[in-house]
Amino acid sequence: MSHEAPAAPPHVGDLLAAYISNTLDPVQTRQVRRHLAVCGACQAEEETWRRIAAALQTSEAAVTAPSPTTMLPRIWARIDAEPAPPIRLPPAARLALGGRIVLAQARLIHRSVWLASACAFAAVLIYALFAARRQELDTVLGLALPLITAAGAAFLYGPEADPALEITQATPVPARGVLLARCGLLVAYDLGLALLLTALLAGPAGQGLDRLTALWLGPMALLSAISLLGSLLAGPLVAFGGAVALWLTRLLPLVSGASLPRAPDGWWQTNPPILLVAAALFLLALLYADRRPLPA
Amino acid sequence: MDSLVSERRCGMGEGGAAGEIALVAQVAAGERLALAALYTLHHQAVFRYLLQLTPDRGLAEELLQDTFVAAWRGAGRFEGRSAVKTWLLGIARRQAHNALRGPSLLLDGDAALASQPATDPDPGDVVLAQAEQAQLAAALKRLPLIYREVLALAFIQELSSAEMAAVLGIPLGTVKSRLRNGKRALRDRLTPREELP
Repeated sequence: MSHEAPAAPPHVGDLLAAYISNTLDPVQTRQVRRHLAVCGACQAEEETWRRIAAALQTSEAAVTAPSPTTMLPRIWARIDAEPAPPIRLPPAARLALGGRIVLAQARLIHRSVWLASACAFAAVLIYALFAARRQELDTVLGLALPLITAAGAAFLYGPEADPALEITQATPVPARGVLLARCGLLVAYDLGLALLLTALLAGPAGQGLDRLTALWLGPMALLSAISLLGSLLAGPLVAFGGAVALWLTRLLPLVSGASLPRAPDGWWQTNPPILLVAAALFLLALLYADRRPLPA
Repeated sequence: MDSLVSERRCGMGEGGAAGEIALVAQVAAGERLALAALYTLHHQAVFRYLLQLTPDRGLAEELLQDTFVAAWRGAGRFEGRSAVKTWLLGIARRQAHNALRGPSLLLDGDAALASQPATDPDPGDVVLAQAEQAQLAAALKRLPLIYREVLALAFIQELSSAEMAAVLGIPLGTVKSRLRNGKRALRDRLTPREELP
């Protein structure tokens, strides 16, 4: 510290109000005290502030707020009566929330859906590798893969299939969001497995991958959408049964040569119109999910 | 930067402040008991503040209700960066502004007033020092809201300057100049008319 006579410390006028209410940090408090010891003008100002504070505090002394017993019931009544306004999230937060919903739904989808799909794909793979003749491969892929996905779609959502439906319905996430999340998960999963399967079965250099994929992609989309919508409208068993029946009308004639009434083969191709129809059916399902009457 | 959580608050140490922040987290989780505890801790302070903003006791009670309902809804957004009391006072201020809808709460006429160098003592203070308490109290009640509010926060709520800045939504420097100008406005009201320059 310097041994010359210290310069007069600056006046502390702006700190006095805080000094009086004891809200200064220790360093500033000491600084103010040191200054007040030597500056009469600031002492006078401090006295002024104290009088103002005293006048304010005495006028407030008589005020009493409504007691908790009085006020709390009114607060609860207000909270219960008014639904919370929807919270608008910024886009980044909305994406993060979407991600969390998807992860949560992954846990809620019944384990059997994942397991059954995987087993079915594995079965198809084994059959195709070891038992199918070349020309049968096309048929196997085109028929089996869409059916597997349609089965998953039938059991994806709904009280019969959903052990956690109450929890789902109790969250603020709308049914539509839940369904969207689950479909996204299932599609990603099944599509991934199907592509993997196809890649394994395609030639070693990957030739024919396009052709093989085209055998099942369109039918998978269409049949799954039908199955999902059917599941929402009439329940998973009906939906699955319907999908199977629909599919049998394709399968049997191929196997037995019998002629059955069936949808024209043009329905089961992979092309933009079919994919559009599948998308439209899916949107319908989404719309219906929210309006679906809740189970009693 | 001033810390917003003062240790001297209500005799609670750091543990108390952290405990209150935990209370708000419980409110966010939907625990009514936690909101009840917050009300018990802070209803006097919030009510006294609201009475500064409106002398109508009935309206102040309604605003008190509004404040805690809003605290219930907004607890999830509280990040613990300020003291819980500061947060509640800020909510109360917004509720009052919505209800009163007057320009007075947000009036920023400080720039229009001449400013002395920030720290030099004001010679006019002698008037204030000599005024009687009753006169002072009466003059305080007649101050414009913008000054009454900051003086009340400083000496009744005993907020630090940084906390006041947070509640009022103004820079720290503006808090200090508003206090200064409030003192000057008070002095002007006490000075007999003939003596004003």
